[in-house]
Amino acid sequence: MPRPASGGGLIGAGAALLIVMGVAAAAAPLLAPHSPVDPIDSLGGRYLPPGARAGELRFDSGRRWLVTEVEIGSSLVTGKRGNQRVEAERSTVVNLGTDGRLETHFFLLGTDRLGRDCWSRILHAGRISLLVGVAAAALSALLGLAVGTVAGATGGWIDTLLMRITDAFLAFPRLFLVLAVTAFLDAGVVAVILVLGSTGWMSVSRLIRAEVLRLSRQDFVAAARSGGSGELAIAFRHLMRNAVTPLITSTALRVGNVILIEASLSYLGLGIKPPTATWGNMIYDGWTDLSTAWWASVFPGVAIVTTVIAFNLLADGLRDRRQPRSAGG
Amino acid sequence: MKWCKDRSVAPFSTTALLVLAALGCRSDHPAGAARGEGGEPQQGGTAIIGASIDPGGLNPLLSETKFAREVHDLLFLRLLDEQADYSDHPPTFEPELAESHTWAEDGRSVEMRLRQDVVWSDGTPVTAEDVVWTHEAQIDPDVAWNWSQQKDGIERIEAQGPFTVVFHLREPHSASLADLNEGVILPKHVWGRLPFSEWRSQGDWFRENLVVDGPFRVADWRAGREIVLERNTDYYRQGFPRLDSVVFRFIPEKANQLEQLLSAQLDYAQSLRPEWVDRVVESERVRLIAYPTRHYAYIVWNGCKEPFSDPRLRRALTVAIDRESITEALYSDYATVAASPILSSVWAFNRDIEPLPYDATEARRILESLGWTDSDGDGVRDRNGERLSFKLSTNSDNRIRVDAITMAKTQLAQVGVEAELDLMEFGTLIDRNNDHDFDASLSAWAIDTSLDLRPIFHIESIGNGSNYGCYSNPEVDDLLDQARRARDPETLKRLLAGVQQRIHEEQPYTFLWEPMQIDGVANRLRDPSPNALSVFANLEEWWISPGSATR
Amino acid sequence: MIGYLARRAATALALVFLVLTVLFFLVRLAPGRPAAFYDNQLATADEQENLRRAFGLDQPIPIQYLHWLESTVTGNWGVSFSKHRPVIHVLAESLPQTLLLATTALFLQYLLGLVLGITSARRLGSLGDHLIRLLSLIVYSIPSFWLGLMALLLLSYRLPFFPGGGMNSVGAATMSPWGYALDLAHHLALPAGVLGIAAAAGVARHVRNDLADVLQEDYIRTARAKGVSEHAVVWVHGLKNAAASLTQLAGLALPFLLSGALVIEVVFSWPGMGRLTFDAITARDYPLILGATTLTALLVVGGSFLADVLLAVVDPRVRDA
Repeated sequence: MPRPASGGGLIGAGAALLIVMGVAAAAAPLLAPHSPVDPIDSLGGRYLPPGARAGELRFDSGRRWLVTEVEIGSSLVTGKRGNQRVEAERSTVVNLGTDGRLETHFFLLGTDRLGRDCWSRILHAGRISLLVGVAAAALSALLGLAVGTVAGATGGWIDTLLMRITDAFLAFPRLFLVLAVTAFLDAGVVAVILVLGSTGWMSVSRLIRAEVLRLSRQDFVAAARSGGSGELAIAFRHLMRNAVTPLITSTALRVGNVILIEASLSYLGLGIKPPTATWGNMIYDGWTDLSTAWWASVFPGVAIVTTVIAFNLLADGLRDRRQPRSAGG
Repeated sequence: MKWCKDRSVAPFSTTALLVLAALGCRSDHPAGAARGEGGEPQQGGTAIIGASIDPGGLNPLLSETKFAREVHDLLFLRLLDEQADYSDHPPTFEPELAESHTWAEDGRSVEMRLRQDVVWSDGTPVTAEDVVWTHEAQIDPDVAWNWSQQKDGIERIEAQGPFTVVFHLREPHSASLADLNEGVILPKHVWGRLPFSEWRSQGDWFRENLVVDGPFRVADWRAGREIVLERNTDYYRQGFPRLDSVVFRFIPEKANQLEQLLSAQLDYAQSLRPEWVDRVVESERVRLIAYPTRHYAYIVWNGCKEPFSDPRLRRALTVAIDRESITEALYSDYATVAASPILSSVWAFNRDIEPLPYDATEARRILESLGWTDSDGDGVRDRNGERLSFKLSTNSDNRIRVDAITMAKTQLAQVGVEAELDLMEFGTLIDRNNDHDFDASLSAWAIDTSLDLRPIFHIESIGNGSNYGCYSNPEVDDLLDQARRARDPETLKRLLAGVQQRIHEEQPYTFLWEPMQIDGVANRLRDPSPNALSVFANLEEWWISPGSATR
Repeated sequence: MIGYLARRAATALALVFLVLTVLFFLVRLAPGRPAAFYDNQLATADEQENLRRAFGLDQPIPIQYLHWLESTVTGNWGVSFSKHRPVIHVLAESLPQTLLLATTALFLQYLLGLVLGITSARRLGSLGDHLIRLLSLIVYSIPSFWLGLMALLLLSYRLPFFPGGGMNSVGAATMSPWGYALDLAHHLALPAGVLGIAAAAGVARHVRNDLADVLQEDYIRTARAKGVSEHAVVWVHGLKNAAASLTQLAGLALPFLLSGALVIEVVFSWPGMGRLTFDAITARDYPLILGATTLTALLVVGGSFLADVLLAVVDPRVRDA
C-alpha cells in the first residue's frame, strides 16, 4: 500500500509557519504601524473597517482627531469623525504641512472599539500568547519529566503515590481548576504561566514513566549496568535518547492547547488583564459587537487558529516520524 | 440614606433629553411620546423581559442585586411609593400600603395609617403587625440585612390597632421618610414561622411558602432560565396589573439580549450599549427609551499622600483628561460630563458649576509651576528625583471603566504624566479604596435622593466611611453638618451649593460622566415608564397592543 | 479486577479531596470578599460583621475548613452565599442541563469521529483521507468558544436558523411533550454541535490510526482472502479491535467535555453547571465554587471508573492484567 510521506512535510509546514509567527511576534514593535495600547482618537477611530484610511488632525489644545472624507479649505477643515460631520479652523490644526497635506493612517485589519489598530494589537498580542504557550508547556514538560522519571526509576510506594497524584490532577476538568485559581490571584502573565504550566504536566509524567519502565526492562540497560557506569547516568542518557521525540511532540501539542486555554480564560474576562493585548482578550473585547464589527473578534481568532495549527502540524509530523507505521493522522 | 455601588457593565445617567432631541436622536421621553400612542389600554397578554441574572432568591432581606430588588417590588408592597420627581424639589411620596403619614410636631414620631383592603395572597389582611415584625426582621443581626443602618434612627415601632403604626424616632428627625420607607413589608403570619437564625440557609423555604400582596405573584421559576410572574388577582388596585403575566428571561450576555429583542424574542431589554442605538432605531418593531440614572463616575485621587494632597495638582490632572471626548466615545449622546457629587438632574445641583474644560496647555503650565519638569528627558515629569507616575485602578469586569482609564492614560501621557493601569477584581478595588491603599481609582456612585455627602467627603468618614481620598476642608465639614440638620429645602440647597463649590475648586474627585440608561422596547408593549429609581416602576400599568400580532 | 478498579477510584477520590483542600485555602485566603459585602458599599461595620457571622466567615479559617469538611461529607455541601440555599440543591438544578449538553455532544463526537475516521482509514492516503485529516487538524485547533461565537454570528444573528441562546422558548412550560422536545433540540443544536465537532477531530484521528493498524493484521488479511465483504471487515473485525482504545478515549473525553461545556454554556447562555460555576466565581460564592468543583471532579472520577470497567469488558487483555 502506498504510504504518505513520513511527516517531513508536516514538520516543514508547521515549522515554517511557526518561524513566521515567531519572527512577527519578536519584531512586533518594528512591524506594528501603531501603538497596541494608546488610541489616537477613540471617537473618530472607533471600529473602522479593515483597509480603512483616516486622516489625523492635531490641534493646539492637544486634542487629536481621526477623520475621514477630509476637505481642507483655506480657512476650514471639514470631515467625518465617527458618525459626525465636524469642522475646525485650519489655523488651530498644527500638523498640516505647508503644502496642506494630511497625515494619514492605514488600518489593515480595521480598528477596535477604542480606535486602536487591530493589526498592531494582533502582532503585540502574539508575543504574549506565544510566550505564555511556550513557557507554560515547557514548565509542564519539566514537571512531567521530573515526576515521571522519579516514579519510573524508583518504583515502589513513591511510584504509586506519584501516579495517584497524577490521577487526582487528571480528575479535574482543567478549566474549572484554572478558572478558580486565576480568579483569586490577580492574573498577570507570570501567574497565568505558572497556573497553566502546573496543571498540564500529568500526561507527560505518564509518558515518561512508561518510557522509563520500558527501558529498565531492556537488555542494554542491564548490560550498561554491568559495564559499571552509574545507574542514574545510564537511565538518563537512554531515557533522553528514547523519550525526547515523544516529549517534544507532546510539548508542541501542549503549546497549542495552552494557547487555547489562555484564550478561553481571557474570553471569560479572567485572563491577562488589559491594556496588555492577548488574542483572547481581543476577542473578549470585540465580541459584544460581533454583529456590527466582526473584524475585531474574527482576526484575533484567526491568529489563534493559525498558531495552534502550526504547533499541531509540528506535533503530527514528529509523531509520524516516530511511528511511521500508522502514518500520522 | 442609601448609596449603593454600581458594578454593572453599562450603567448610565442624566440631564439631557432636550439635548438629545436637539441632536436629532430618536428617543421616547419616559413619560411622553410612548404613552397614549395607541389607543385604549387593553387587559391581558404576556410581556417578555430580558434580565442579566437570576434574582437568586425571593426573600427581599437577603437579596443582593438591583434586579432582585426590582422583582421583590413587584411581589410586595412598600408603605409609600417614592416618586422620581426630584429634578425641581425633594422627591414626594405617594400612598401605597399606607394611605397617610403624619409627622408629630416635635419630629419625634410618624404615624402611618394603613389601607384596610389589602390582603396577602392567602386571604389574610395585611396589618400593622406585619409592619412591626418586618422592622424586627430588618434589624435582626442573624438576618444581616445589608441596609439595616437606615433603621438606626428608629427607636421602636408601635402598632396602634390593626391598621395604624407609629414610628418613634431616637431624636427629632433622626430618620427621614425615605429611611422609614426602605424595604418592602413581609408576611409575618407565614414567614414568622421560620426563626431568623435559619433565614440565610433556607432560601428554598421562602419559595415554597410565598404569599404576596403586590401586583404579581410567582407562577414558575426555572433557575438560570426564567421566572414567570402572573397577575395577582387579589391585588388591591382594581383592574391592575393589566398584563396577565410577565416573563423575565435570564440572558447573561447583553449582546444576546439585543439580538433577541430585534428578532422578536423579547419585548424589553434593559441597559443597552450606546453603540447599539442605531440598530434599535433602524428596527421596525422596537423603539428606544433613554432616561437619567442615579450614577456618576469619577476618579478619586488619594489625597492621603503626596503628591495628590495638593489641590492644584488634582486640578492639573483633571484638565489634562479630556472628559468630554471620553464620555462621547463611551456613550455617544447618552451621557453628560459630570461636574459635581450631586447629579445635574437633581434639584440641589449647583447650576453655577461647569465642568473644567479640557486644556492640556493649562495642565502643563500648572505642573511646571508646581516644579514638575521632565529633567531627565524620559517623557515623564519629575520633581526632586520623584517621577510623576502613579497607578490608575478600576475593576476589570467593567469594560466601560477599563476603556475610560485606557483613554485617560494616553491623555495624561501627553502632558508628561505616567499612569499605569491597575485592574483588579471589584471587591479588591473597594477594599483598597477603603484602606486608602491606592493612587487614583475610577469608580462610580449611585446616589439616593437624601443627598447626604458626609460619608464621602466629611473628615470623620476618613477612618470609618468612604472618604477614600482623605478629603478634608473644615468649611465643607461644617456645611455638611448643617445640611444634615436642615429640613427646609431652600436652606439645604444653599448649604449643598457651597459644598459643591468647594469641591469643584479642590477637585478631590475628577468627575467623569453621568450616564443615561437606554432600554429597547417592542412597539407592541405600551406605556412603560422606567425611571432612575426603578425600571419597572409602573409595570402594573404596562399593556400589550393587540393590533400588532407579531411579538 | 473490579475490586482493583474500585480501589484505584477510591484513592483517586482521596486525592481529589486533597486538591479540593488546597483549593479551599486558596479561595479563602485570597483578597476580596463575597459579592454581598459590596452590595451596600457604605455598609457600617456592624452590618458587615452581621454578614460575616451569617456566612460563618467570622470564624478562624481552620474551623471554617472543618465546617466545610463536615458539610461535604454529610452531603448538603454548605449553603450558597448568593442563593441562600443548600449548594447541593443549586447544583442539582443545573447538573441535568450540563449532562444533556455533554452527552449530546459526546454522541455527536463519536458519530462524527467514527464516520470520518473510518472513511479515512479505508482509503489511506487518498484525497478524501487528506482532506479529512486537514479538516480535523483545523477544527482541533479552533478555540471552542470562538467556534461558538462564529456559529452564533452566522447561524443565529446573520441567518436566523437557531435561537441565540438559552434552553427553551417562552411558554415552554405549556407546550406538548413533543413540542417541548423539539424546542429543546432547536436550542441544543448549536451548543452541542459546536462542542461535539470540536471534540470529534480527536476521535476521528484515533479511529483512523487504530483501524489503519488493525487492517494490516494477519487475521484481517485472512478474512479478506476468505471473501468476507470489505464492509464486514471494517465494521466487525476492525472496530471490535479499535473498541478498547475508543473506550479509553471516552473516559478521557469527560473532563474535556466538561471544560468545553463551561465556555460553551457562557457563549450560549446555557443554564448549566459551567455557567453556574462562572457566576459563582464572579460573586465569590465560596461554597458554590467548591461544590461545583467537587461535583465535576466526582463526575470525572466516576466517568473514568466506568470507562475502566467497560474497558475490562471489551478487552480481555486488560481484564487479565
